[in-house]
Amino acid sequence: MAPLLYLDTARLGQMSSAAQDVHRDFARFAGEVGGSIQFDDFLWGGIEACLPSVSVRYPGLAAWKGIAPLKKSLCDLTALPSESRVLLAARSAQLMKLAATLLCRPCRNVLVADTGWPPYQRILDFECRRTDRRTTMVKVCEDAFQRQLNEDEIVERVRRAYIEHCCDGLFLTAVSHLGIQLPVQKIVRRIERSAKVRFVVVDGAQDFCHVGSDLRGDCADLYLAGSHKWLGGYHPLGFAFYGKRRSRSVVEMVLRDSLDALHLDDPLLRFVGGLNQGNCRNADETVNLAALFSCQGAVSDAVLQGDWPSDKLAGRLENAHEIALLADGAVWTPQLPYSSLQSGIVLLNARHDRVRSLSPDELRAAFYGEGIALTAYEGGLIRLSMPAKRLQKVELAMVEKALRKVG
Amino acid sequence: MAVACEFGSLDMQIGMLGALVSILAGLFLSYVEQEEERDERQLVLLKQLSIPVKLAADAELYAQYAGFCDALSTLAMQTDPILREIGLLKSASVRQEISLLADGTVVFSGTESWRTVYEKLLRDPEIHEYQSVAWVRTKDYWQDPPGRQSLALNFDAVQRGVLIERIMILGDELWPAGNDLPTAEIRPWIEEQYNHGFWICLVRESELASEPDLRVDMGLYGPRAVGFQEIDERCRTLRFTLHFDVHQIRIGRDRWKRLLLFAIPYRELLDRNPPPE
Repeated sequence: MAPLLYLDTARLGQMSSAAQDVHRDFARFAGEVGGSIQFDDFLWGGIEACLPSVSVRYPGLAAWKGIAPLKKSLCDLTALPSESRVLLAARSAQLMKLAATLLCRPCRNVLVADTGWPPYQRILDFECRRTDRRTTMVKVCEDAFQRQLNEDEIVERVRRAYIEHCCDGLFLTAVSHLGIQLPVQKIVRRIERSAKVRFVVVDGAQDFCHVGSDLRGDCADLYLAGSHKWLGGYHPLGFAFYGKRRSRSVVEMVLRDSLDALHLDDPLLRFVGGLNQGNCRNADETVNLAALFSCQGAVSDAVLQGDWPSDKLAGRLENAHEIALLADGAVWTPQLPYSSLQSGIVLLNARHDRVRSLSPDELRAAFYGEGIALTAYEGGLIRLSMPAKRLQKVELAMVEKALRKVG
Repeated sequence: MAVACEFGSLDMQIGMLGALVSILAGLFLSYVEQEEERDERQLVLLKQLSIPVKLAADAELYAQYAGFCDALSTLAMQTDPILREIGLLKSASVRQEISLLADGTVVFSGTESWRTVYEKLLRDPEIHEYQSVAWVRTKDYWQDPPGRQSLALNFDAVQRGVLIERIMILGDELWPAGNDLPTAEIRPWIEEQYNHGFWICLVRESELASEPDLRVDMGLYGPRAVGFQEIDERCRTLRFTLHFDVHQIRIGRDRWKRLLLFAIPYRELLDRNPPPE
């Protein structure tokens, strides 16, 4: 198999090394132990709760210490204070449903930016319609790409829209799927100085372990993220971090209400949520837990690497700069906002109509044929997710060749 | 007249003719007068009939009207003076109540039965917002079974999507000056509502010293109605008055807006406090 340059992390990250180890040995463990009582010991207490022979036989599972330690390690990874909590769900859309409910309970009008992930926006719109609430969308995306808005101007535009439309809640995307990094903290702080904010949700799916997962100064009541993109857990697993005193009990009460009313239907969320209420063993559905183990492996890798994602961002931005230079000379137009709004995601727009007319699948396949995995969209738009490590000359040459050939 | 023509003089004949004309004119005038009286009587009758005509379009109210008419007619046939006196007193009281209803006002005195109407309003699919002011003078406020039941109704409404905003006016012994948060006696009750997603704001009662009309127990049910509750020292309802008229709703809204100037969101108070141990 030819070497593959993987630049598609924004869609689905490659599985980290420790996650692979855990996953491999978990598959063996599942094949040999199945669902016996030993599995229960392993699930709740980790490999240390099993017989010593088990840890010898499945060394890859050493990272797994149990569900509570997994949650704690995720909170540690975000540097959140000890009273912080995290929800785990098999489907991140279920956590977005919870977020929409939390926003629509106290808020009349939720401000959103047009950088949001459209399926999440639809979930919020649905809940707003159900409860007779409104959303106000502020447009920043196009102007940011055309360098008509810098960071301060975005903050001011969002603040002004919030005041003008009498908004009282915020749903912001920290890093858009197209790579724009919104100054979320600044926006919220600025708005809080001049208006009442009832609830804040931040979608950090493209932010977590990419631009920043340091949530110490975070202003969100709920921060959504996932294991399967930049963290490298591969198996889809949604996270929702929360814990501010002003909203911790609200999140838990609304979660309980929503699960009881079957408004939320995620077996993993119910199962793990039950752990806090002490009735997890009475789950009425068999739950796929594989994502938990690989996530723990990925977290171990992230902790081992030590650096904060924000430290790694510099490397990603340098790579992005190199790619943008290559693209410019290879009939692709880079879509780059001002540097403070950039992330490790680079968007390139095809200049030739022939390429623009290709379907996303055709475009993606054309690059794959050149050894590059990336995301493609309609209209000849491609998205490249930058690795943290500097791209080697040979890799840059590979990208340049592919851009020229496909473009 | 024929005899006068045959045997009387000309003067006599002219005199007779004059008398005849006078009689005819008198008769005519009398007829016109009676006609006017008849018209007037007809007008009065028609005016009385116009109420049933208006009611005829409303079968439910018309049935009530007909029932009242029958009962009053039967009462009119009663001859015992004491019975008649009681009947008159009672019917005057009923008329007064109905007049209030006609003006858009319902009054419940000394009873918790107002909560039935409260429930109807909160369950109405057209009510998307409920704003309430709770004047909490003791820790027992809305803690009795009817109060807890109404609170459960609130939780149900918020789950259905009703936006509930509540300003709580707290007596100073429940939220002593200098304390960031209310006392532990009342806080669980506040947090229970806050955690369900109500937007809760607090006001210290003493801060309203110069605005006595703002110290109320009030509920605004969307654009439909406003209710005022008066309670005794044991938090039992003395009177609950519900207004469905625009003027009273405007007064309620005005009070709500003025109260907001004094109110602090509970969320902000929690933010200012370190997490509990």
